[in-house]
Amino acid sequence: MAFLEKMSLWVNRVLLGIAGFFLAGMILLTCANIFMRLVWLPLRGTFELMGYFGAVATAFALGYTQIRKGHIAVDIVVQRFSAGTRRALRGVNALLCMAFFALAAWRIGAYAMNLHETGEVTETLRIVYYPFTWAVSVGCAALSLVFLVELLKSFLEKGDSEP
Amino acid sequence: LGPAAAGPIKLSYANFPPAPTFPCIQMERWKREVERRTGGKVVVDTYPGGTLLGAKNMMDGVIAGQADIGCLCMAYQPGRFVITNATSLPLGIPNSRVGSLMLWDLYKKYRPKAFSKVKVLTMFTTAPSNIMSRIPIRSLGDIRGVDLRASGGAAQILKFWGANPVGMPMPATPEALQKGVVKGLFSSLEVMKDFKFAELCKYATLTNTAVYPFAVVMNMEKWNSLPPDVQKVLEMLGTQQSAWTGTYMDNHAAESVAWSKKVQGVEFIELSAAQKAEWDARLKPITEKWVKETGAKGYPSKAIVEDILAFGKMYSGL
Amino acid sequence: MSLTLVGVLGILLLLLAMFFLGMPVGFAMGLVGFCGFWYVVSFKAAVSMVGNDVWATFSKYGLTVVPLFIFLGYLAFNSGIAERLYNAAYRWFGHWRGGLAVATIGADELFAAICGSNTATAATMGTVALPQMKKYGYHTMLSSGTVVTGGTLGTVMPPSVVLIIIGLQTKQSIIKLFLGGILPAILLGLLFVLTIVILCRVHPHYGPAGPRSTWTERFKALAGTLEAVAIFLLVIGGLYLGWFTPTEAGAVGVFFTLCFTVPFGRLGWKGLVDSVRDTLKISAMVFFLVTGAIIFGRFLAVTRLPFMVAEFAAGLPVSPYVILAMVLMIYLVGGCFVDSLGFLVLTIPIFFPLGMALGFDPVWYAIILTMITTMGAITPPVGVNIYVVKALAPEIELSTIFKSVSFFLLACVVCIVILIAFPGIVLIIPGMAG
Ligand code: NA
Ligand code: NA
Repeated sequence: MAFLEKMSLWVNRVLLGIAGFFLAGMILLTCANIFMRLVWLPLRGTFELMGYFGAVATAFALGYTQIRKGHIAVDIVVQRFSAGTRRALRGVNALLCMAFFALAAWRIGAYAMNLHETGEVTETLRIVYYPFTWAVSVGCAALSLVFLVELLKSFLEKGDSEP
Repeated sequence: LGPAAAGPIKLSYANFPPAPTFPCIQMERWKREVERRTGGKVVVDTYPGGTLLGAKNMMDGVIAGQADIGCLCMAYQPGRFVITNATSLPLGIPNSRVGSLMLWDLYKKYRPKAFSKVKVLTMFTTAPSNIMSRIPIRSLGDIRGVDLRASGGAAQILKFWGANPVGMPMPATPEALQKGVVKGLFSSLEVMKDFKFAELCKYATLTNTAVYPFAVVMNMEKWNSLPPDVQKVLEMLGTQQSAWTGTYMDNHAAESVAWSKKVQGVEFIELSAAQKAEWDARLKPITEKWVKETGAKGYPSKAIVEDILAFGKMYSGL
Repeated sequence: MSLTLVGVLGILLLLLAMFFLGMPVGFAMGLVGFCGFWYVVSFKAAVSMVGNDVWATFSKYGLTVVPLFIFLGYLAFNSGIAERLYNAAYRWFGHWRGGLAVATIGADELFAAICGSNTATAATMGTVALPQMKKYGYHTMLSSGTVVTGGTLGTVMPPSVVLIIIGLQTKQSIIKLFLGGILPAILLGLLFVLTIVILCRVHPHYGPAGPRSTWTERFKALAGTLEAVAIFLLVIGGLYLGWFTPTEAGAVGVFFTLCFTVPFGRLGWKGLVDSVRDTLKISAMVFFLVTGAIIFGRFLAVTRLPFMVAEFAAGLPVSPYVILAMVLMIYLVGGCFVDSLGFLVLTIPIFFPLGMALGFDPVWYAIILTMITTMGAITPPVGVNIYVVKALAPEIELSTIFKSVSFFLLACVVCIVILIAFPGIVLIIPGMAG
């Protein structure tokens, strides 16, 4: 259990680090495009690459955001229940979210595979883009992992550790 | 699970652009024809404007059954519909009617593997593409480095003229033009009116090249579940719908040009014969390169180009 | 079971998941939308929809503007640009009764102009202004409400993440929405100032006058705001003049903020890393909120519920303004329990078509909806800004903050009434832009 939690934290931290580089990439790419447009010609493919970079940056941050409780939730009713009820409800929530994001990760992965097989390329640069699709699948899988840890915690831990 | 299917057969038909545009007009016409010809046995629910499926996930959404029927622009997914996308090579298709019938014949002749998981109901193309822009483009010098929206084969053409093609589906284009992501677009002229581009793009350069190919596909299981008489009605409609859409598109593009000139004061820039030859000469390598590269992948690329030219000639009445 | 009923049940299920499980709003919308689509269409179709829509939304160019503007706001905060803005406002207005509170609103207006998020604005000003007001003997009845509410200016004054999201969801020009927000934000700020002036007149001990600054101090402080002014002119000016797209404006703003701060040691490694991490956190939250709303919207579309509601309300034999009042009441009550941004994203598929069916101007309607939902960020019991400020100053009682905020809520209501009576305040600037 402790191992799984550590692993989830580690995985999501690494993904967040990579996400940071893609955020930096977005800024550099956009500024480079503006600069090149001023002095010569715009960079071909900026439009589509920005979308894909944004996808990686945000999808890789999904799990870390959940660890830090950054996804807005309404806990006004939940807070009124007893500690035991709260723990059970948290378990149900974690189970549902874990399943949902596992499903999403699986489907997006299948979609990426389909893009690979059908040979689809981007509209402007004509490069394959399924690796970016895979990245979004990985982001969802990492989020699912966070919920798996939450689920196990709601079973195994005594008391209410929620802030 | 799910609501019981009592009464008429219900079909959901998804489309990606807004309701007043030509892919949706042909969708509503198809709906009326099907409902009339099956005597109300089939009812079609239409979902325009990407409410059910977006431009790029139309094909996969129909395969999965998210909608029973979907209308897609094949140019948005380069690499996937190799054979049918060849119709957007600069091969001198004169109008949408010829383009549509030619594309439909090409599909029926080759039955591409890209469509093996769906039932194809019809295909059609836009009218030839022209440049609509916020700045006047009168020469190859003017177009150099200008960000213009185009997809698929049309994007290749812009590249050879020296423009900077930006690929995006048509419904994303109004916002992109407004925000300055692109300075104009390369498409058939009916969008001047349908998407109100004439309000922003006060110039149009008449190049008359490259059509955008569309397909209307149906979920295979749904198709197999239809009674034979309904299947027959839909089969019969294939060629008719293709021709109807082409004719509608040609008339509508002419209407849109007249409206843009009269109401919006758009300037239509005609290229001189010498210029036209210069612009066309730049495009020569595109088809050659396509034949070579696609042939290397194992497609009968040469025969495809010859068929496009032959079908085009046939329907032009030449 | 009729499809409309399925749609209504879906909404109930969504509320159940949000309130009783505490499921994050975006996830609940995605999950319930998925289950509903499964029920109405099929499992295969529903699961394919989830995959496609998550990918399509996350990779959308239009959304890339969100992380860039959020990043810009965090950089301004972590590099002390925000603090210098406050200092300038304080030097100019601090010697009046309640002057520090007025200065906070003034700094809010300025900071809001470069920051896109109302939580970030509240957090920034809370960090900067609360200790100052405490130092000069301001009563928490005035100071806490000022900081909590001042943050709402961040959503109305462009750039604004809320306006960006409305623009994306309703396919409107983001620039027009930005331009439409300028005058209402100024009006709202003036009404807040009026509230402070009245409060200090009735309870003079709420905001004792501070020491008078010399003119040298004043102009020196003003000089400290130069970067902020320059960034604002570059970002908003460049957008307005058509030099950049919104995404490019965000990137350019970030680039120049880094140029102004990193070489001068104003933004250390820690500040930079914190900014990146917080930006990614908020962006991931916003992206999935939008995705969840799209998935839920697809489910509502197959039940045809939004079309029915719009048709029904548009056909009611009452004035559109009565229906508008009803919609605003729903937002006000909903905003008391659900986070404002989540609630907005959730309801746009139903209430935006309704507003269009009633014949309202889309820009004006978007600004009105923004105003009313932002009030949700400051209405008890669920108001993010309140908790942000409570977290910054734990010694202030929640009940005090609630009371203090209620004075300012009145100003918000007055502002909305004025905008309904005089829609020109919203529409004049976007109209000039053509
Ligand atoms: Na703002
Ligand atoms: Na609230």
